[in-house]
This record gives sequence, structure tokens and C-alpha cells, in this order.
Amino acid sequence: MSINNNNFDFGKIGKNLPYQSESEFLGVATDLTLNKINSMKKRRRIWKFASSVAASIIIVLGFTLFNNSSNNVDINNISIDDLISNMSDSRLEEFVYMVDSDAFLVDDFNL
Amino acid sequence: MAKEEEIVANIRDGKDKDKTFTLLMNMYKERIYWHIRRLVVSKEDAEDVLQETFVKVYFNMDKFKGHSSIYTWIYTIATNECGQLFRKRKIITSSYDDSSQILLDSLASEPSVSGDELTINFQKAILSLPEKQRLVFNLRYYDELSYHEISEITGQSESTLKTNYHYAEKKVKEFMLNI
Repeated sequence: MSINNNNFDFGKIGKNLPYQSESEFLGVATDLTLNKINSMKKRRRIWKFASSVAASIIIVLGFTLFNNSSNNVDINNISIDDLISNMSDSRLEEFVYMVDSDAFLVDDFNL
Repeated sequence: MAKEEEIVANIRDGKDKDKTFTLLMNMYKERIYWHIRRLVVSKEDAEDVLQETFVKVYFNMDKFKGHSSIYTWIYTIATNECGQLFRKRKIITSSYDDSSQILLDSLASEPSVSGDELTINFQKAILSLPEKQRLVFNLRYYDELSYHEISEITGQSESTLKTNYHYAEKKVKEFMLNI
């Protein structure tokens, strides 16, 4: 196939690519991708569960430590207002941070 | 296209995500595969990028608002994924000649390359273009997209794209005439 020097014609080349047909891969591409998506979803669920467990442990530990260091305070018998009013500034900050964080989201515990 | 409207409606309603995704992927995988392949050259990279593209499509389907057509949205994701691959491979360098050279080397070493000399040289001419010109040339010449559609994909203005295409066409012609 020759190319006229003064008038290069793209039509002579057309849309051809110098690559072999990929029908084999394209035939299974959807299934391969769906498998990948499903394994990613599984990994995400595991990660979400693990982070929820970690968050729960941190909350329990936090309250245990708080409870131990606040002598004579029975956490079951006091209101949240009493709790907050007995907190030091730094603990109150910690508490607000935990409430604001995802750790208290109900959805996270409904796995 | 009735099927495309059905897919967009399903995405909007959020129903049967897996079925909608399968329809979508079956509809566009070939077209998107060749778009990616023209950009990354390597067969294996193209297969990986195609999968990554559609994984992103799946996890972001609910974010598709229908402001553009669904295939230009997928083209955008695919093009960005190619860019990410280039960055990972450090193909994007301060000089475009380096990235072109890497792609040209990839074309030379790719085992699945076959075709006549003219077609291979034409591909070399395209791979020698600067990145932006290469992208607009591929989308316009092979995919036959309008400047408006290419603008949606690349985020560049139509006038910039026209200029880039004009220069790309000129350089490809020069390359072909000088071999």
C-alpha cells in the first residue's frame, strides 16, 4: 500500500489496529470483574466489622478506665447529665469526640 | 438507545445493581477495552485497567447523575485509570518524548502485535504524539466521538481539542510521509 506524498489518505489505513483480536478475554471480562467486585465487597465487610469491633473495644476500655478512676461513681445508677458534670475538661473532650465519631453509629453494629 | 435508557433508569432507581452492571459492562466493555488498549498498548495492562475501570463504575454507579451520557462517564473513568497507570509506572515525565518512547518500546515488545507495516507505523505515529494530542486523536479518529463528547471526557474546551486534533493530524501525516 503506498502513500502519495502530497496527499496522505487516512482512509487507506482505516480504523485497523496492529493488535490481535481479544475476544477470549472480552468473553470472560464481565465475570472476572464481578468476581473481583465480590471479593472486594467481602474484604470491605470484614474491614468494617473489624473496625467496629475495634471501636467497641476502645469504647469499653475507655469507660472502664473512666469508671475505675472516678471513685464511688456507679455508672449504672447515674444519668448522662451527672456523668458529664462529673467529667474533667479533658475527659469531656474525649467523650464528645467519641460521640461525634463513627464509633457510636448504630449502623456499624448491625452487621 | 433503549437499553442505555433502561440502564440509566435502573441506576437512578438503584434497583438490581449487579444485573444493571452486567448489562452496562457487556454493552461497553469492548469499546472501552480498545480505548484503553490504544492508550496503554500492553495487552496485560489493558486487561487490568479495563477491570479497574468497571470496578470503579460499579462502586460509583449511584453517583452517576445523568448529566452526561453514560459512555462518556465510563470513558472518563477509563482515561483516568490509564493516567493512574502511567503515573504508577512513572511514564509521565517532564518530557513527553520519554513517555512516547516507553509506549513505542512497549509496542515493539508486545507479543500480541500483528498487522501490516503501514498499520504498525500508523500506531507508532500516534504513540509519538504528546499525551493530550494522542488522547484527542484516538477519541476522534477511532472512537469517532464529537468534540463535545471528548470535552466531557477530558474536561478541555472544544476549541482546545480542535487545535490539539489539528496538530495531531498534521504530525501523524508528517510521520507517515517521512518513513
